[in-house]
Amino acid sequence: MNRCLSWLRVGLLSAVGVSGAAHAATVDFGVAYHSGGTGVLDSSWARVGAGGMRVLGGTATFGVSTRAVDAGYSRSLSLPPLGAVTSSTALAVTYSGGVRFTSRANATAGPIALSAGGSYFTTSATSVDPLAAWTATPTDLRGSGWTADVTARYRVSRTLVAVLGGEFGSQAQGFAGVEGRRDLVRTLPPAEDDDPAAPPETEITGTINWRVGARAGRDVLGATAGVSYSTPSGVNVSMDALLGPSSLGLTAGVSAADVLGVGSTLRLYGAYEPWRTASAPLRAGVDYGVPLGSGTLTLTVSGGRDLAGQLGFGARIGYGLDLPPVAPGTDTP
Amino acid sequence: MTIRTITLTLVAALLGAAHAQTAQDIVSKVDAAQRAAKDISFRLAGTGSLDTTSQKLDLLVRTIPAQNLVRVQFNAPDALADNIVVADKTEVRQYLYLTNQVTVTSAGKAADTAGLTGLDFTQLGNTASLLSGYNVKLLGSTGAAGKHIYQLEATPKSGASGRTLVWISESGWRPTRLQVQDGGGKTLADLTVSAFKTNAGLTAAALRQLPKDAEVIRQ
Repeated sequence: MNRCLSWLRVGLLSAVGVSGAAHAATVDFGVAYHSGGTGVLDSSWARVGAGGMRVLGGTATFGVSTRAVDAGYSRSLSLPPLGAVTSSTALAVTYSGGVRFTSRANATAGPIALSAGGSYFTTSATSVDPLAAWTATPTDLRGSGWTADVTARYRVSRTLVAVLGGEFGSQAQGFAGVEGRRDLVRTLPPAEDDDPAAPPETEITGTINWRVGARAGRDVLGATAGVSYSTPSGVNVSMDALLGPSSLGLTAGVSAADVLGVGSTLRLYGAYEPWRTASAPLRAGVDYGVPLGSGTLTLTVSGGRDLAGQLGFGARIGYGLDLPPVAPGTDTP
Repeated sequence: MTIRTITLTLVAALLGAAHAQTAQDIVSKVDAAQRAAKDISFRLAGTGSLDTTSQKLDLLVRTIPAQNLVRVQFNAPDALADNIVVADKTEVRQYLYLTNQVTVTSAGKAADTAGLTGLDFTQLGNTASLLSGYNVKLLGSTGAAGKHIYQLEATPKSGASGRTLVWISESGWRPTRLQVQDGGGKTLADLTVSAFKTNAGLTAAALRQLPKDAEVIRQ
């Protein structure tokens, strides 16, 4: 088995021109089926890819699917405890000649976080990923165009964060708001060697986060508000709303860790955003992941209603195999 | 300055100790005591100044020396509050509250970038390695026998100006105070160590725990 993995790793790394580095890589497999196709082949999708490969100081991914080939590169610089800078770029080319290029950069330094991203595409997102229309975050479903977004977050105090940002492309808009939180704590029973003069120790049992703001732009104007509750065990429940003179939007989500198996993750989400003019107005889905063998098994079921009012759904199952790191020179079988 | 303060406080806090007459005795016995402790935790709080601005500094440190595992959780200043750094022999994980992200950096790469911040978290579990960059001198002691407070002075071997004063209590052999001074004798930071505990039953899993809904970014 190890011999097979070693061969597989050599092949995958050679395919992207990488060699001689000590690193851990992953191999991903996935198949999907979605409604709306003209036949079984048109409704099906499969992909195999490799990720986590060290290239030029960053990590690279590469994949081949039944619809496109894709490649990505990401790089980051972490400076504990001050912050981090991360960047990622991805390119997908479909067999019909369509291109999708996306890039994003994030920087955090003390109380300030900046995020900026952009994309250029000559083919729709669903031509590369059949489930792209029903993701929790809205996807621009146009057949061609560009998008850009920028967000700035500033930590006013320990419990208050100011947010300012904008989205550009098919539906230019800006948003601003503040986010706050309240920790729910309990006092721990004193230990035998505790200093009696010291304040009692406490632990956080849950955190309530809230946010209020406004969003304005092309075909949207409204106030926004949201609240979420999270626990240290990994449970998170959230709900957000947009309400304006002619705009309405509701999103909600629940996620939990270790609920369906040790190390598992489970997320359910739903979004009703008819004010968006380039994304599916109704989206819902379930994401599930669980460690299995030397990798992670993932399952996604999602669906919704597109801009034309058509209902659709899709399902995808995937497996990511973690290859053990190998030192240079040990790949030789 | 603040980072150097944290470094030296961690060094001091990891100094366990024994009855000693010289700085080298203290350092040697402290190192032995650190190795003997299954786990160590303490709070470091006070004020530090950057340029002319003084700000509050408050952080909680937990470590399992045998595993070179260290967890540092910031409570102040607000800009860094709730950020968490977990370091061991193989990697450094940094949780950023503002973006709900966890960055994962190999120990080797973290050591390479440590020069940018002045703090190599991968070395925090290794007292001898940390002290290798400083000349440590015993300035004196106060108090009655068995309750001495030893005052140590650490100066960078690199020749950089400034010094750090560390007070260590013979009672329990734990650091109680830390003061950082610049080359002109101006106090840049004055911090106290409290809630110092050893063998509290800390587990590696608890020290490694970070918010489970955070986005993980591997460097």
